[in-house]
Amino acid sequence: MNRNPIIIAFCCNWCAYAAADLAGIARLQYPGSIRIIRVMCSGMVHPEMVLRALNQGADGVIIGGCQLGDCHYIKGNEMALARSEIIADTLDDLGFAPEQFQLVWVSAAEPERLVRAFREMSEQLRAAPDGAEAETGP
Amino acid sequence: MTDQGMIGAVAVVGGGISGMQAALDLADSGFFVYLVEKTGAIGGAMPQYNKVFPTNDCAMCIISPKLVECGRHPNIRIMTLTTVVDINGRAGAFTVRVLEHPRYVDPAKCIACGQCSSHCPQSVDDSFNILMAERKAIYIKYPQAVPLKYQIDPQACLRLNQPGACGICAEICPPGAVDFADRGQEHNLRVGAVVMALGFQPFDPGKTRAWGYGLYPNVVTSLQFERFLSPGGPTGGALVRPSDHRPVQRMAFLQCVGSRDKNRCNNEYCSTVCCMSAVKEAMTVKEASPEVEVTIFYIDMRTPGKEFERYFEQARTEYGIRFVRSRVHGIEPKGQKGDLRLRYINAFGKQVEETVDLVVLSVGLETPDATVRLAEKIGIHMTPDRFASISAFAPVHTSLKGIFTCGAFNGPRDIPQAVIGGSAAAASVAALLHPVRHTLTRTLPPPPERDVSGQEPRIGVFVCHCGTNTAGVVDVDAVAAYAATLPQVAHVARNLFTCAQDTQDLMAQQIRENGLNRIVVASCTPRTHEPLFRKTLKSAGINEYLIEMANIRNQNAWVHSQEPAAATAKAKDLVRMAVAKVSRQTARKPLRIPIAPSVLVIGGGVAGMTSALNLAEQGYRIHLIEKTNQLGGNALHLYQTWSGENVPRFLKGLKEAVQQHPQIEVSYSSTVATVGGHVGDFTSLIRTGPNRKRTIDHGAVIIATGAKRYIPEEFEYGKIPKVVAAIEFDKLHMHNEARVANGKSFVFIQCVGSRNQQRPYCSKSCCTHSIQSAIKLKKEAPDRRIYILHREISTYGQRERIYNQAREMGIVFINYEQHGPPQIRKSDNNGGVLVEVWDHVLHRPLEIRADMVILATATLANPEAAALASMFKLPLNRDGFFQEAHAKLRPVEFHVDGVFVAGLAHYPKPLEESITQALAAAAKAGRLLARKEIAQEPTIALIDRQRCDDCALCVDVCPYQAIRLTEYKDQDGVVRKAVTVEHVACTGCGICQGTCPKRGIDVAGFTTAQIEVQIDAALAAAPMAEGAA
Amino acid sequence: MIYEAKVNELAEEFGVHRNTIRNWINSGVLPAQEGPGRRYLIQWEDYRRLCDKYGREPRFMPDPEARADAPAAPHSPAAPGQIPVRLDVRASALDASPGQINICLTCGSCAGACPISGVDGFDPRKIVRMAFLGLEDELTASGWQWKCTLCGKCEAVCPMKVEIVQLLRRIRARCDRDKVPAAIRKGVATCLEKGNNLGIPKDDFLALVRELGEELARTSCPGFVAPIDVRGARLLLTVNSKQPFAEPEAMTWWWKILHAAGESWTISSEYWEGINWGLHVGDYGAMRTIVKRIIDNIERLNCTALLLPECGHAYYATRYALERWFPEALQQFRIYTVFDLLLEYLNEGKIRLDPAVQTKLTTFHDSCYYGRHSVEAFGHGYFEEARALTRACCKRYVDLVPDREENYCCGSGSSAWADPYRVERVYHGRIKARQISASNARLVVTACLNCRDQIRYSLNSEFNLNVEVQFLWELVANALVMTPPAAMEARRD
Repeated sequence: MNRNPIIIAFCCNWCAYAAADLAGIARLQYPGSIRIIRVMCSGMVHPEMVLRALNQGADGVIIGGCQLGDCHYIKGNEMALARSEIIADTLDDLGFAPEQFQLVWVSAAEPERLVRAFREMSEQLRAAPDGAEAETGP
Repeated sequence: MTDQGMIGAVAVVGGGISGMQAALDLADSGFFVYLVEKTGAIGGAMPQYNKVFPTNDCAMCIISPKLVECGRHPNIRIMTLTTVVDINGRAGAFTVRVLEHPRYVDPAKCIACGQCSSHCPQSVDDSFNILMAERKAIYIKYPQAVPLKYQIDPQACLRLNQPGACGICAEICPPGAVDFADRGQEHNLRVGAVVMALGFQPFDPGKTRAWGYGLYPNVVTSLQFERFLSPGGPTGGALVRPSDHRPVQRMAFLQCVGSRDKNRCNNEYCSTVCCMSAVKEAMTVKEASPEVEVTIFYIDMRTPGKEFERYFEQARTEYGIRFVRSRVHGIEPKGQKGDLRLRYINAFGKQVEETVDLVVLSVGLETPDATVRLAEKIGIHMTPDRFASISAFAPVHTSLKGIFTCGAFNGPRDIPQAVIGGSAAAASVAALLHPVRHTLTRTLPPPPERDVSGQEPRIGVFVCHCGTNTAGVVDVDAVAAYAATLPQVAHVARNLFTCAQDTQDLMAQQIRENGLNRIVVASCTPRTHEPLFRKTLKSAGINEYLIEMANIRNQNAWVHSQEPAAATAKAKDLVRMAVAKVSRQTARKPLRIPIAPSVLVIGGGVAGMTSALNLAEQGYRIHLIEKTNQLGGNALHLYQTWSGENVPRFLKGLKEAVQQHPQIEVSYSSTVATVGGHVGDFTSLIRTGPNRKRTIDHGAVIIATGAKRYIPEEFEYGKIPKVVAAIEFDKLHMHNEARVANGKSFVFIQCVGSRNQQRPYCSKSCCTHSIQSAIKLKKEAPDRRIYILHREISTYGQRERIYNQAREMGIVFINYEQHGPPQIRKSDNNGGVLVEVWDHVLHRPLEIRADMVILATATLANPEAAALASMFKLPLNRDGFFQEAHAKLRPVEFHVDGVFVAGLAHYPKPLEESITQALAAAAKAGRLLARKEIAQEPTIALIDRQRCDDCALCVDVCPYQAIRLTEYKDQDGVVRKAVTVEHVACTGCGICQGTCPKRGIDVAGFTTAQIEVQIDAALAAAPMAEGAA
Repeated sequence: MIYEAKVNELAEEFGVHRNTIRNWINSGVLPAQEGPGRRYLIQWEDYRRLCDKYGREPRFMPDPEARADAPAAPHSPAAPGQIPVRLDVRASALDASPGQINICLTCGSCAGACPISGVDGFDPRKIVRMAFLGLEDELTASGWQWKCTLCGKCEAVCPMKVEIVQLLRRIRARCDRDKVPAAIRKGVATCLEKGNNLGIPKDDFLALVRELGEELARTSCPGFVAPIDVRGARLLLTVNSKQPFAEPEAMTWWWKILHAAGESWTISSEYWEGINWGLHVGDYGAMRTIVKRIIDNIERLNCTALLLPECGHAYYATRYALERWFPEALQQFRIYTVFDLLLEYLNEGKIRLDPAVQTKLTTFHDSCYYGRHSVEAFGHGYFEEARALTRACCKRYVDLVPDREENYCCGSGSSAWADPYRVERVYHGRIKARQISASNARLVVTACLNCRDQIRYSLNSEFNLNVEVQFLWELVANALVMTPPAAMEARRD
């Protein structure tokens, strides 16, 4: 892939989105092709939304939530984690590569961690063989 | 005194951040506030700053909402250009005589169009930009000023100095607001209490020629340098030399200019803020131009605040800022081109000469003479350092009953301390005046709300430059132009600072004029600024939830600052996403919830007791729970405050007051087992002893769970009996145990367990504590030899006085660094201890024979904080202390409403800061409870009856049991079950939404349809989509 | 290892002039061989020694093995073999007022300000610390007290007002007499014994004065007679023995001014010495004796005013002694500074000055004693007076930067000129030399003999300054408009 992969990042309001704001305050840099969508909780993200993003042309989807055990809503991130297995299976069936969908758990005070996840995913997708990219069509 | 004759109004004198905070807390707690400000606009010093430490937030961005809030509040009357002449009366009923100086512009008429200023022929030095720029004789203090009304400088105005001259402004002013005949007026304000937040002035280094200030153009003060760094400053944020506008390549900060000095000035105290301020400014320089060589010359780097030490370390190790422990004696020019020469002694004792382009003098804070005179006239006692005299036990009370004080008038302090002080003063006023609460306040009903349901969206997009924060990276013109092309967008505007009060008014006007019914603000993060814009929507007569923010600063300009093109493209995407989402936004109504008028205070130390007592005095019911079987907490180990006040006596009084107060119920041996509910309506299960449990309902919570002490492993502690921890030494000292009584030589070692890799924070009170013990030892027997081995001596503020006193008495201070700690071993003879340490001045090792070695051990976070944090969903910082909502402006609050923090649970601090913070937490809880009911966010799950098939999958996943299957009878009388949501219990997490297979349940504001259009909009420009199209 | 360096590189590095480097090489202070390309070859060890001597960080280090003895990082635990100083702090013998030295913040301001910090380990901060920690014997034996010019720059910048100059004086006083530099030690002894520092016999002195007076009468002041022992004269003038000895005509500039002003004045035939090295060697008994002699002269000759024209320290020492030991004497007569008297003449129209005479760009060098020390001791420094007078005598004037209270010492004050400290004195003067050349002045005016000689002889040659140096009164004497009194009267009408 010779461009920056487009990634949709669903970020929970309490940790991941706050960490993304903090990344700005700390001037941490990451690729400009990442689009953050604010959700109240990582548990709010329906599997269909992940599929929709990939089908509409995203190269990757990331769901960012609070650290496991620290969910603002008690267990929303655990729900997201449980669902992620189903999502991964479905994506595999549809021919998407496993690195195209990832989860990241960060606390509101860990912008570095979030940014690292953004960068790593971006690099992985960029390194992916063009074949994988070709398969990402509907 | 009786309640009779008490007045439910308060005068807050001083419109800086501290005064503003006091005013807001008081006005929200049911008191009418006169906010008296001597200049033409409120804000104090903070708007002049570029950024604030240690968060590096843009100062204007974070103060702006507060300015606007003060400006809009129906129960705050801002009186600008007004000074206090005299105060008479008694606590509960004062008459404050104020003089309102003429503005020469009628604020009721002025529309701040600026035509007057652009035509005014007279330019003078701009004091806001500290002599580095010019302004006109008719001017506004700064672009975001509140109130945003022009004023005439009577010294500069041609017309006022010569009748008949000029007068252009009056001719040109469209509403005819200029009034040269304006005269000063006296007013008598009838108030029940006064809060003095008189503030500081920066030290003027021009008083001595040695600093070269005023002689060499490339010597500037730290405050001037803030203006240099500021996007709104004289150079537009460019770092250039004042002499020739060449980019700066090498620069130096000189600390302690006008502080810790009794020779060139008479300011013996430490100004507290300059170390961190210099680090911040240096970091800002390095961020913008990493190639600039920056050196900070200092005596001690004082970083005792929360996250300060990390910030300092980061500056040193990551930013490559050079720190030199050496005070530079003065500045000399080198050559004719504006270069400056510094000569100093380095760590090896060698003299070094360096040439720099720019020198920043980190000037201290001092009380202006006029303030001292006013204090004297009113009869407020002052300290020898010319600050208001306060007791550590009553840190916001002046010597006069009913007159309170906060901010830098109490001693030099940073913004959080000023904010905490403002709230604390408000709490103290509220306790005094609670019988007349709500007697003079009024509530303004919001303008009627336009019903926009069913209307086609007419979207207004407001793109914010945020000075150069955003506009410096993103092409905001292009973004605005692009926004205008989006479907349903009816109006686009750009603003320098969208959050400024004038912009808010303008936005409301544009919403009304253009009939907008959805708003997108492309600026910073909704987490901090959405509440402000919602109020604007309300004032414009549309539902406050019809807004969406596009985060083009924090999550775009700042994280892609090296890629302007990508950032501009992304900004367009973010605006497109926001427009798509907002078009599907619907009007919502907040849920009104009554507030239980009681507070749960967790922790019976000084902080907890102070909060409890203040709130009880304000008339609320308090449940104070204490884990042990006695009140007092860590203060039980303290004997005196830094200023020598007796702690045990104070503690006894406080305990009695708490125990005897009818509104306070103390539960000993108790902890919180579980917590349920939410702001205004918490239900906590309290476990007392091994097997007693009961539930308590309360409207708010104050966490004051204290801290623990560090048990050292270093310095032979536990191996040599003569090596003891400070807390143990205090006990031995108090009982005059033989080792202390007969001891002739004592060595104190500082920073034991603090400021190292494992715990990179300063425990804040140990330097002061060791010095006090040392002074006491020396006073008992002047021939005792006492050594304090330290890293930095952090006697910030007026504590510097006891450091000076200790040295005067002959106590020896030896500086060691982390890589060369003192070595301790048993002495071969007579059982003493030998301490070997490297002397920082002699550059030789010293050997001290000590009778006792006292370790100043770290303060650690309470390990039980983690459990509490997880119960209340509160964050802890990396050191295990509770992380407040915002380090600067929300220092006792959390993002979780209704929960507040005070004392050591927040961070190590001395007693008076714990007490101040406890009062501030009480103010916040009191402010909440005074409202009697609160509006809960209507971000809750709603069922789409069309799609829901009552499969009840959502019922199982809801963590709050807010979704139920409810039985009902259908038309045919058949009993059926339907999914329903209990709105008060719903927190809006949307786990149901993520689970529902039928799209039958959605969280308002984050509906599946909205997320879908955001995804689509985000990818509209993606290559795949293009390919598919 | 061999270090290859050019003279100008070394000069830049050490802050001195190329001449000084060449002098070091020629005198063997810096052993060096001429090498290729106008470079000198210097052994690393010799270079290191020079760096140590002048307290400079070596600009580069040889490979790690060769620098085994390089200084350890600061704050490291003791290097093996380094014996720690055993601390036993008690009341320091050097601490006259308790708390004065103790209060040091160890901030380093003094050490940064001092022009000779680092030279042979000299460091005012270290000296204060050693005094405080009870290392006064080591301190007294160090010899630092004689390299210091007591210029007081350290004290002026100290945020805690530690009286560093007083401390250095006490160290000087504590020094074994045979460790006092010979020139000043002998000067004091000779003065006490023979009435002046150089032991000039009374007859020789009187003959010289008479001769000079006659010469002056012949050349510019018709009717002038040198007034010796004139009873009832208003003003008593003292003499610096160095002048009759080495530069007799220098005395006549004052005479010319006094004559032009119509002053009633006299010189004593005995105990005419004005300078007072008791101050410098820390011998307060000698200082007091010498001042008492002046008082006796004033009483004997019934004068009402005193002028010590020769040197900054002479005025300071005398006034200091008068205020300390003879306060009643100050009721009897007035002690003038050169500035007070000259300004009085100028303001009262007793003398007239023609600025056109001096066309060179002129600057004024503040001496420490008339400047900082006077501010400290007497509450007033003669900064503006000096400039008013200088400007009245020249067409073009420029200030040195920095000057007044912030001025740098010439490098030779308080007897630092005395052997064997020539090298240190020249090094100290590098800053003065730099200031002078930066000002572009061609004429340096000063009011102190010490400053004048240091700039005129040492700095001029070491730093190729090529400036003329004049006393303030020399400048005034040359600018005098010698109008006959009658003509002046007429003009005034």
